[in-house]
Amino acid sequence: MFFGVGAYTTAILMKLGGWAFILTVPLGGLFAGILAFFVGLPTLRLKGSYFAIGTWALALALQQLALILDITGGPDGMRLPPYLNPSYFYYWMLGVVGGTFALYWILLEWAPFGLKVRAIREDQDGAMALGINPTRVKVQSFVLSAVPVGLLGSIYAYWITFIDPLSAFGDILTDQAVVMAVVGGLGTLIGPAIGAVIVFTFKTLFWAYLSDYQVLYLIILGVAIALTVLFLPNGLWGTFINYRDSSRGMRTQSVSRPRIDASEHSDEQEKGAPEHG
Amino acid sequence: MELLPQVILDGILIGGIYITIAIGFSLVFGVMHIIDFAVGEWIMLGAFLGYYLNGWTGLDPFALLPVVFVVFFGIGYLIQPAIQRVISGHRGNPLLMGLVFTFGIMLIIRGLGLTIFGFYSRSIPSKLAASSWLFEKGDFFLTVPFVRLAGLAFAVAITLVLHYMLKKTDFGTGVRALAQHKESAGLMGVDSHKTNCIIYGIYVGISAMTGVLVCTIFSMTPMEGGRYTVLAFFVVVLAGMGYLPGVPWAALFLGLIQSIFIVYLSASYTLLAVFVVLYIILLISPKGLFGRGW
Amino acid sequence: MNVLEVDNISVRYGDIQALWDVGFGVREGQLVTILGTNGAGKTTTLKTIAGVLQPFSGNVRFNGSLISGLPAHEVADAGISLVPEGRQLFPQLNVEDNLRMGSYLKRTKVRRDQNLKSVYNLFPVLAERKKQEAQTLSGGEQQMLAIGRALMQDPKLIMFDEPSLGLAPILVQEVFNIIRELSRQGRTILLVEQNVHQALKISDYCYVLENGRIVHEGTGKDLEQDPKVREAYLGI
Repeated sequence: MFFGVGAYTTAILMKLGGWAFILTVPLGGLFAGILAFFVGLPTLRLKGSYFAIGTWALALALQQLALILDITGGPDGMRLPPYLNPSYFYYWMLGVVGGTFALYWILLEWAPFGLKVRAIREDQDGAMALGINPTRVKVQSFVLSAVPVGLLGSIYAYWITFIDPLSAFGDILTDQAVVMAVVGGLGTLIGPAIGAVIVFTFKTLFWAYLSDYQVLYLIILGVAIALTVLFLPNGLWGTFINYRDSSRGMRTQSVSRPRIDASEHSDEQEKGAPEHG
Repeated sequence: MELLPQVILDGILIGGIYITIAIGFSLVFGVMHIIDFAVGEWIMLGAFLGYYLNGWTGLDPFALLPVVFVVFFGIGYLIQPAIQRVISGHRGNPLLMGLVFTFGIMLIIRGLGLTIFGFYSRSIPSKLAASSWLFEKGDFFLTVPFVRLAGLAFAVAITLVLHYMLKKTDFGTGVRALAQHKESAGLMGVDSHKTNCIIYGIYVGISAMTGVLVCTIFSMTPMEGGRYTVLAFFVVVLAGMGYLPGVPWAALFLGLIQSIFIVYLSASYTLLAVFVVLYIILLISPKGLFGRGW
Repeated sequence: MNVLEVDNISVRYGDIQALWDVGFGVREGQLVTILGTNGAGKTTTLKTIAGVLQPFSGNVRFNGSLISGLPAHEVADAGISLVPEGRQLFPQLNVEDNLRMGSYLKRTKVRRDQNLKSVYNLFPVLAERKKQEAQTLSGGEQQMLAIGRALMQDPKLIMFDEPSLGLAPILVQEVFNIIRELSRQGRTILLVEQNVHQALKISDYCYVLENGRIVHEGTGKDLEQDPKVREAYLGI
């Protein structure tokens, strides 16, 4: 969704406003951030995952808006003047990704902000008792996550030179689901990056060799997601980490909270048995 | 000519369909905290089962509803343990994992649907569809299509049956107890595994029956499931997540908004309008219209 | 012969072991108490017997048949009921529905009306508040509802998990009177308490749990005179 916002920002400003590409990119990020702020405000106040579907629904609404407005070219999309220099975009992308990583690294690992985020993740009520406003931190995180995506959307629009509602707002949810399956809901910095690489590789390979079988793609992806979530509760990456740690003889911290109740007891025994055996 | 009465009536008739789209979804969330991304896909599958059964037997779609329910009750009953496995145990965020899992299910069903049923739009013929009831008095007139009225009646019936089940039967009290305190419900003798499976089966069954209705009143393609997932989600959020008594009112409210938009503004802005309304309500009352959500 | 036989059970939560080879028995008609401080493993013991938790070693027998490994709803059907710590009522069900949940099982459904009547006789205040949601009751009323709900289950063994916790002193006394009365009627009771004075007074036999292990046992009188117990639990 933020991707689409960035893409359309660049496309509209360049085509209708005659702006220079360089100026439109920061604006793409800015608009994505503003949108994230307004979406996050009501949805992130709630516990649970309302906002996952909320953002998806908004993406659909925006997609519809892009389909019916004149300024976006409707279903025909928008065509930008081509700029045939792949390495130019490569450096842009690298810059944004690198900058994002550096910024997140500093914010999450070094600045107090990272501590707040972790406090909320571990224990929201406890964090509130310490005077941390969880909604505020969540909205900040959400905006922070939206801006780079908007920037990338901006670059993408000029790189590909053609955007339409489907390409700009279409696959986001699928990509997110794959990333979630890979990272298993753990808030790690490296996990989503690996998820994104897998998504991108899979897509590229798929479109290169199997683009006639789009329906097959849905089924394969669905089966892969379902099986991963079903059998690897910590996601591909989390499972890999646990495996690596346990083979080094280390105890992992990620599963220390006891969650046992009546209906889970059989589950419990399965997991418990090998440990004590 | 006065449009408003017809607009309100259309809104109520559309809202009736929204009740059945959302009520099972809300029940499942309330009892076991599953947000099922595949709800629209169950509706789609139900529609196609109805379509083919109608083609083979020639029976009216309304007569086929019980068969569709039984088939999909079974499917839901069998699939629930997998979902339960995903949302329980040592997981970082069970609700989110449930979401991702059902998203995977959704992709599979949609892919299979497209493979088997193709991309074409289908519609189930019904004797009721031909006739409608006309009310005229001077400037004032109303058209009530029978098939939509039957849809509303079905929605009301489903609502009443669920209400009766939950409030008046021991099983229903057990379900409510399970939703409120899982461990205590177990101590009282409620078998949570079995109860969850039954509730999930009921939900999938209701969704599939709704699909038959949608396919009779409108039409259905295998691509369209997602639309109904959005609608179900809107209604449930509006009603308050898991707050079942709010669902009929939220559904009717949404139906009215949609009907007003279609007539007075433009059909293409409907989804956007609904989203804006939802956004404002969530901003004012995060727990839905009635402040009783989860 | 012991009705309940707990045979060297060990229980863990994830990586943390809560019980280490805990074993004891309860005879028909006895009132047995488990004493211990916070975190000693008392609640874990009761939850394990009730089937809410599963031991990773050892087992629990009830009337001679193995019940460890069974889920909570089957243990309830076997005739054990637990009045859990902190009441754990169904907050949005009304008082009567909470009680009716006690007779959810087929085994007890047949005697529902009869049991309802006797619970309302025992706790007239519950009859007055039949249609009120459980969450609107006072702490004392909630405790009575929790006990009433357990009685609706026609239990052969009732387990109380710190029934006096969080109640005003006068209500604590009343709760102990109720338990003593139930014991006089011949019911088999397993009680977990921190209120050592009161518990020792009414019980036939006591076990003391410390850090997940049983460290003392004896009749109420014996333990009252045991210098170690006096020092640690009675503050003398």
